[in-house]
Amino acid sequence: MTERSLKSISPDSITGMIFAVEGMKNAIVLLNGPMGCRFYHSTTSQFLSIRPLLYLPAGENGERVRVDYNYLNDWFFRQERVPCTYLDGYDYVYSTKDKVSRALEFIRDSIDFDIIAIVNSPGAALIGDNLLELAREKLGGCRVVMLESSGYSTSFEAGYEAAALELLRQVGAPMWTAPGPRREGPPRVNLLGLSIWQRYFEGDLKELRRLFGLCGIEVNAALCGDCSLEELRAMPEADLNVVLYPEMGLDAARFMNEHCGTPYYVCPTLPIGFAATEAVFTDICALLGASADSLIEESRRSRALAWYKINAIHMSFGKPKGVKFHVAGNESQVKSYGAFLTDYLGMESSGPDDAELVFAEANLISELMLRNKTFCGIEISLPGMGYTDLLPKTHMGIQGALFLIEQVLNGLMSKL
Amino acid sequence: MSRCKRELALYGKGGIGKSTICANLSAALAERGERVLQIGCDPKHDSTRMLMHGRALPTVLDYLKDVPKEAAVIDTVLGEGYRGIGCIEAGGPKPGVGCAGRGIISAFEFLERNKVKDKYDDVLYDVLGDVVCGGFAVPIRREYADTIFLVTSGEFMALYAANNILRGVRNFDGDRHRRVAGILYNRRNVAGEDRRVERFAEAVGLPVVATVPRSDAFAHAEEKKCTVVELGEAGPERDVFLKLADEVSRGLTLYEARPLSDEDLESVVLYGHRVSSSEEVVKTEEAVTAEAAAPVPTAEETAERPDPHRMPLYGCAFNGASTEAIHLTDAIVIAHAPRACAFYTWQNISSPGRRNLFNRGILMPSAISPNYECTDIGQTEAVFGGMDALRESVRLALERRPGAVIVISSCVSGIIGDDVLAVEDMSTPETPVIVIPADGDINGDYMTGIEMCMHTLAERIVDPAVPKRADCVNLIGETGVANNTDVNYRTVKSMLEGMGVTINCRFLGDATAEELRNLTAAPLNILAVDAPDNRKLRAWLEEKYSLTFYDGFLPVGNRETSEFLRNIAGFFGRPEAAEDVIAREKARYDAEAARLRRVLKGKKVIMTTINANLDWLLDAAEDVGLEFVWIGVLNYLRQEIKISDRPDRQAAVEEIGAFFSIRDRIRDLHPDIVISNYTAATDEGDYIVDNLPMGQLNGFRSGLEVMDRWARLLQTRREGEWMHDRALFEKYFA
Repeated sequence: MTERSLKSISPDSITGMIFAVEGMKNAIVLLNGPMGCRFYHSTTSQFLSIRPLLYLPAGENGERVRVDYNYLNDWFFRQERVPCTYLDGYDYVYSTKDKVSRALEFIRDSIDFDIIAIVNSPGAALIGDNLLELAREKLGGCRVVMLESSGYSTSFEAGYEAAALELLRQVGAPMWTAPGPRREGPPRVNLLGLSIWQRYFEGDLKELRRLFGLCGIEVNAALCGDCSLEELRAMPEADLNVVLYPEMGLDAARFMNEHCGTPYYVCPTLPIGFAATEAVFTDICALLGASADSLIEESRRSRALAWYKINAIHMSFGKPKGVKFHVAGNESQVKSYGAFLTDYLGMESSGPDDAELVFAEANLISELMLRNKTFCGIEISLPGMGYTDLLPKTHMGIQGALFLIEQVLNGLMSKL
Repeated sequence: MSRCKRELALYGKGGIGKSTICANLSAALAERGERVLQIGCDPKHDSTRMLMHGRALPTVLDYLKDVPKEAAVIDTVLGEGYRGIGCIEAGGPKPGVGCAGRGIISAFEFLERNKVKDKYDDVLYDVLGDVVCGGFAVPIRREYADTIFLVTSGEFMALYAANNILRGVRNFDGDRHRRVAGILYNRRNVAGEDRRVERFAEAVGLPVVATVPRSDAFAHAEEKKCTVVELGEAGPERDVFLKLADEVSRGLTLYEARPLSDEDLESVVLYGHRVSSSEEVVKTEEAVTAEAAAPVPTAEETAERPDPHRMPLYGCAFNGASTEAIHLTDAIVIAHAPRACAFYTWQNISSPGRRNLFNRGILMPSAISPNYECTDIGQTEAVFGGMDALRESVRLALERRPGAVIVISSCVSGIIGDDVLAVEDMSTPETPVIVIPADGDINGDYMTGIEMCMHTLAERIVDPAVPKRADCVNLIGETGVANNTDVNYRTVKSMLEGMGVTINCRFLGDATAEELRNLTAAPLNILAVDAPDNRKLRAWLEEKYSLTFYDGFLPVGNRETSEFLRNIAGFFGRPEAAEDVIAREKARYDAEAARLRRVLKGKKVIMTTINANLDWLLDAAEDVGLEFVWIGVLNYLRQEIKISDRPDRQAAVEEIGAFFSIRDRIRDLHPDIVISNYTAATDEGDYIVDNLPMGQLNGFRSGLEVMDRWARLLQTRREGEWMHDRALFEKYFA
């Protein structure tokens, strides 16, 4: 048999949708679909970032009581994240409404939540039940996002973007009142396009907050990136929306621009590497009347450190100049990592089979290992190989540039 | 959100004349100066033909089939008809394929995205009412139509469809909203029709808003490729629409949808009985998925429907079949599914592969790079059917000359009705194309999928006529997705090879099509694990192929492994071969047991477990001096509880339910070691807590591996300080 081309199967839009909403604090995603669509999301979500605990609805004295997940049998199947309606053939013929109705009643009576999203699986989306009306009836004033079609084989990013937009449209916009006078204090930005499903989400957010802080800018909210209902409500208070991943955040930026008049800035690349980080923050500072001087100073010091370490390798082995690399990821990643590796490290882009360094998710890396390739795999997206991170790591910003260079320099030792 | 003034939906049975009525109403509204948009929601896409003077418009769905969503523009499908009336045809798939309802939903998503309604005053939806599935019900959702007309003639089936549409409306509105304007009665000039319509209207509490006479004027206008209104000839046919347009403009009285039960409908319409009280009106919410034109289900058919409060299906047959099929290593497995489904399966398969590679350095080819592909069912396939995509995938797979091409169907392909079995005709003399019609979970859960896969592959590939081979066995029913499967296979293979016995075929764990073809060549078959599905599989293989099975399973622990090796060696007539292997292992075992005994002797253990095979653990405990004082077995696999006929052991075992609490046992029995998958530590007592892995290791050292860990735990402090920090977590992260 001829060998199949290298191609692990990546997630599609339903996963993007689910993790977009899972990235909201105290939100519940009810998956209206078969159990088979649920396992991956329930299990994975629990290990992404720190998932909030579930509490019972507040009693009269306001005491918060934790939900014992051992008793979350109905709809949750003893896992705290992504309950589901476990659809089967009967429901496809006779409607899913009965199960959705009962699941909503259970969640309403058992869990304290701020936002609930109902995501139709591809099968459920085919039959077109009108669930928004049902959810409004069952949940009264609760904030509901109905995601009727989770898409069919479209990208993770498309699903994420659609869900983020619907969050703004269905939950955000109804809370937003007419703009009052601008709140005093430093300029504020919202971050668009971050997802808890990104490999180094926590570290990315932490580093971005730190760098904005260096510039005297406050991060107001990171939509779908550990964003609370209050932060969602306050999103129009930002002076600028920063779109990190256009394929995931541009629609949300346009919506807020149309709805609240918030201007937006689309990062030309992700802030990966010193030059990109300096460029992005310089641009944003110029727009907000802030100063990037401190950031530039720190970046230069870090470049100096990096030079010393890279030079040591370069003097001994002539690397990284000319080393072949391959980046597999979404459009923003390919562009951003590619620019850094090519422009800063002088490396050369190639196909996966020739590359000495492969930047990808773990399935692709392990497939290449199976082919006995001599290379170093560096994870830039999920799924990962299985390493558990406690210290938040990042490839973004100045800390991220140093960590990435560290991985590259160590990776270069795989083939001397 | 739409900015138009009114949205009117006209529903009616196919062929009833609703497109003619809708087009004339649009034309009349336009004559009154309204800016009108008419959207045809019928796969036959001729709703706007007369407004467009005979010109057929490209349908939204045909357009979206070829043009990516991002590149699609509204102007291509938006025609301008009489008096600037905007004309759109949603379209649909060819009869018998795809999902027309899904098509309507897709078309509406496209129209919403392009804000097409914003520049019109009135939007009219001309909707096929025969099939009131969720997709065709989209126009009567409350975010669309604010006014609903029932178009009907006086024939029973037309009124039946009208009543069903009322059911759909009621399903959305209950008794809280009023959106039904009334009946548009299209006369057919058949006997008694006026009376039937009147009786129906009275029974459902709706007015007949307009009566359209049967007239050649409509045929005449059609010949001129225009509407009666546009044709402009004076007469009652034209007047009725102008009058209706005026009423619409002034604002119509709207009514609650109050459908009749099937029995009442028949009684009222056919036999003229009156519905004397509102109690007889259907009041309960009903699903809108029934086909209006279909015959009423008989009591017998209704009784055959499954219980709506059914037990959950754990996983889906698609996933189970996929994870099993990829073990046919030279096959190409094609998931006929949206990419999401294939991704879940890929993760299910590759997760242990990545873990073993990362943590143990073990390369598991079928788990790292499964021979698994996907047809990536997209919106286009969901609407128009996915068979073209599937055939193309199979064709490309056959070009690579695999041992077999295996196709597994998802729930989406099941719902849209793809005839997946048809691709079996693409089989070549070298390569069979084998279809497993799992249809997601429509045909069962994960375990059902595994069973479907194994039966189907055996029936299509195994050659029962192959001659027997000497000194080989088959391994049957290894666990497909588990961390220890590969480790166990290596252990068993090594032990068997030590006795000169080879493995003929793993059914189904990494075997080629050729090995599976030769399944019956092995004189002996060994079931890997004791589980209900494996027991069924054994029975099936015994009956179908007369296979001989070893009366046991792959061995766990010292005693079972010795016995297993002796039995296998005895079967092949070389008992001495087993003794060599056993003697070698015994020396290692005794040395390690002695080491552990120094730590574990005299310690008391209590345990809850789902493993019913316990002797291997109790043997090892005895060898290291541990005492099991109580064991609770949660026997959800319905296995025989394997325990020696010894009173001390049997007394310790109790079968428990899913919500049993071990806390009482901890308090009463004062254990040193508590083994449980679900128990948090309590403060009552001084003990270590551990769990028993679900997948057991095969071979001599199974028990000692576990106890080595307990010994290490006992030698360390009872717990780490981290365990006290839960409150901090709740403080900072909750």
